[in-house]
Amino acid sequence: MAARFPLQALALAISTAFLLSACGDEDKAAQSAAPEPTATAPAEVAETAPAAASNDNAVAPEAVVSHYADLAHATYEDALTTAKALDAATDELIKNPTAETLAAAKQAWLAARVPYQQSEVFRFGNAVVDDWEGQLNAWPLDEGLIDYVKTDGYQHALGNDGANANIIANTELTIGSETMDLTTLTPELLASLNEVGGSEANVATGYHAVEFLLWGQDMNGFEAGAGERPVTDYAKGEDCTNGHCDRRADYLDAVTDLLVSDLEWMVGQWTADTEGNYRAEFVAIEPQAAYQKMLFGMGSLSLGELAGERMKVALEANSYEDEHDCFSDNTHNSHYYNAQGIQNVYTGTYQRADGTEMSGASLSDLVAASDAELDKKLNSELASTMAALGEMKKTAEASENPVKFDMMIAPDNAEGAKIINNAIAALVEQTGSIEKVAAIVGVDSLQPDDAGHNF
Amino acid sequence: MTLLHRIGCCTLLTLACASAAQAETPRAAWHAQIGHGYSQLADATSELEKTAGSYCEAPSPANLQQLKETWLAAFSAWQAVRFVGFGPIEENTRAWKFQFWPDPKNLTASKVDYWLNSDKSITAEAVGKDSVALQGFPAVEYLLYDERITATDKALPAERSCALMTAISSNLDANADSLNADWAALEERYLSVEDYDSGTLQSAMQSLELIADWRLAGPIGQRSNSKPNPYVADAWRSGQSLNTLHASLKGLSDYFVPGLNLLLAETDQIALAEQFSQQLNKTLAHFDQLPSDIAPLMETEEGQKSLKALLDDVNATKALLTGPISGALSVVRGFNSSDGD
Repeated sequence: MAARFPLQALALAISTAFLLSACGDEDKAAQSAAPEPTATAPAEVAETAPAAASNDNAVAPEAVVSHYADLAHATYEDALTTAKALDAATDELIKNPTAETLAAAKQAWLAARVPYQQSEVFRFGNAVVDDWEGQLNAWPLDEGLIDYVKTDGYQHALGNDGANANIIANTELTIGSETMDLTTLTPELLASLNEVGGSEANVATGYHAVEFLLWGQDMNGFEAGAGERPVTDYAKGEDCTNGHCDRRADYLDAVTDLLVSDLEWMVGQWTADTEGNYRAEFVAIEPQAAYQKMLFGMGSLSLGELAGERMKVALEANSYEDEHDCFSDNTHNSHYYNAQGIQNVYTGTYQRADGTEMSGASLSDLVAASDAELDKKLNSELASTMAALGEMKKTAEASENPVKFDMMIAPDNAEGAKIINNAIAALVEQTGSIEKVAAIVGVDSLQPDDAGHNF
Repeated sequence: MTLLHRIGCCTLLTLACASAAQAETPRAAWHAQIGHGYSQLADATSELEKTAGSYCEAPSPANLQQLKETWLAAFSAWQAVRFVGFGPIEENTRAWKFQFWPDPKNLTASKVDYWLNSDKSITAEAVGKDSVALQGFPAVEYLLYDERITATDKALPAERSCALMTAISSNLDANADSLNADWAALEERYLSVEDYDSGTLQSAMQSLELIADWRLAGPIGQRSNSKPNPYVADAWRSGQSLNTLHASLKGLSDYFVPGLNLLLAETDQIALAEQFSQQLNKTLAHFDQLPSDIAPLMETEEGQKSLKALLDDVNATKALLTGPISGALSVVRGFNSSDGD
């Protein structure tokens, strides 16, 4: 569902961390083996949803599984609430396009990213999420599919016939032998245009489409500055800039409506005591199979996705085309909250959009019962990752001379590269422990189990 | 020069050492054969650097032709060892510095164009500090073959194009030399750490998955929901995409299979070893009837059929290794960098 190819060349195999090389890795091994002295234990987990029905202090497997589902439900519920606020803010922008309503819509988009990025940890282990998420978060996109682009500085995917389709400017789209009627821009029509012409870079819907419609292309390369779409792109009549303002407004309206209805569906999948939804199926499987999904989601997001595709590629290729939130320059937050999601799942905690704290039976409790040392190690590594990404966030949001992710990846920015490399290293480190946890809780294969979940 | 000489000796010593002391163990075989592949790569990039220099000093159609052939030989030497995803190749993003792949947004072109259009001084060192997309074989290929260069006033032997090509070649050679030296230095550790068995097997498995699921299935449109996309193939600019696939499969046969056979023999699985070799040879035999590139075959129904037949055999090879063989050897797959999207 995603836009990039798997990255064989990104060699970060962690189970074999000690296979890395001949020279210098005695030191590396020594470092990683030494427990962090300042390990920040996760805040009081497992108190509110105690391990019911079990003897001793052991946590009940069912409690861990069901609390994970509670976390997923709460996270998607927050994603939905904030998406509804985004929908309302964009409606206001469409009705009354001013600098203020545009700024408010952008703020609403930024707020909506916070829970959504935390939800991505539920993606890789659960096919119900993975099969669905492309419509919400696919990237990188060839934005010329959606709207006007400046031709110099727009590099689309090679072989993508839809890269300059400009849905907003055209009421008809021909790709190959197929012609589509685009007269009325409905949520359904936009959804059907994803991957049109067989290219994954054709992303017509989701957060990044909305981001492009609010911010526009970022033409600043490695320099400071995000996209600068003029609010008059939504003006009525003569004031309209860049043409087709009515259709642009229709597009924004439809694509935000779709986001809301997609999230409503996913909240429904995780709601408790609902016959036939995904959660009902999930809590009925063997606990080990459920742990496998939890850990697979944590490990895949840590290593291949966040450390690899979302950071390493952009950094090593010095490629702002591979920046995750490239229009808004909000990439640091997208990364930060991805990692937060991973920590949430392990510790069983989640800070909701309204500020309330959730906690309950967790994988951490489970591991602590049989290997306290490993539990401590992973908790400490998760905290180190948050600190490393916290540094990235702080640098990007500094009140003076902020350095955003697309500036950090510039060829000559050694300090920026260091910040990113620290975050990558921390994610690689924690993935190694996630694999060890798998063995402790009885998961013998980390292959994704996709059997039987075709919603 | 002295350094190069020293590295050469080291490698020879290493090989001699390995074959004398422990030639019977699978890891000794793997270390020696992969080391051979790496030294072939270092030789080929050294030839490329030399040829690039002599072409730019005395450009002629014949010299250009020779340069193209040397480039292909070096790129093929890389394809042959591309299955090795562990050890020193993992450090400092070395693999991408030989070949940044996939490159859907043509970063190779953007980065090369940027250097051609700027007035920054071009050195191998500067290239080595820039984007991985600038450093690899595809960047040289772009300068040699892409119409965005060859049909313009930037076509070789234009001054900056020549300077850049020479610098990239020289950086490639330096990277191949250090890779070769670091692999030799890994020997003692590689031989003593048993987990390298499964590390080596997993690496070969991933490489076959990549060949089957992307490098071949991508360009011929055999991935779900996607149409044929020639730009997913290696070496599409030079029209060598089947030659490079062949080189990768041949690399597995030359550098991976002997160690695998020894490992399977240790556990009385010689039948499986034979089955795998036969299947791999059957796959390799396809290339005798095929041209150097995928693109012309996609234009006829017959051509498409022959590519599909090749894919079937690549898939069968992959299935043997990831199924029965990894089962027999109890290899457990962990997370790897291609998990995720």
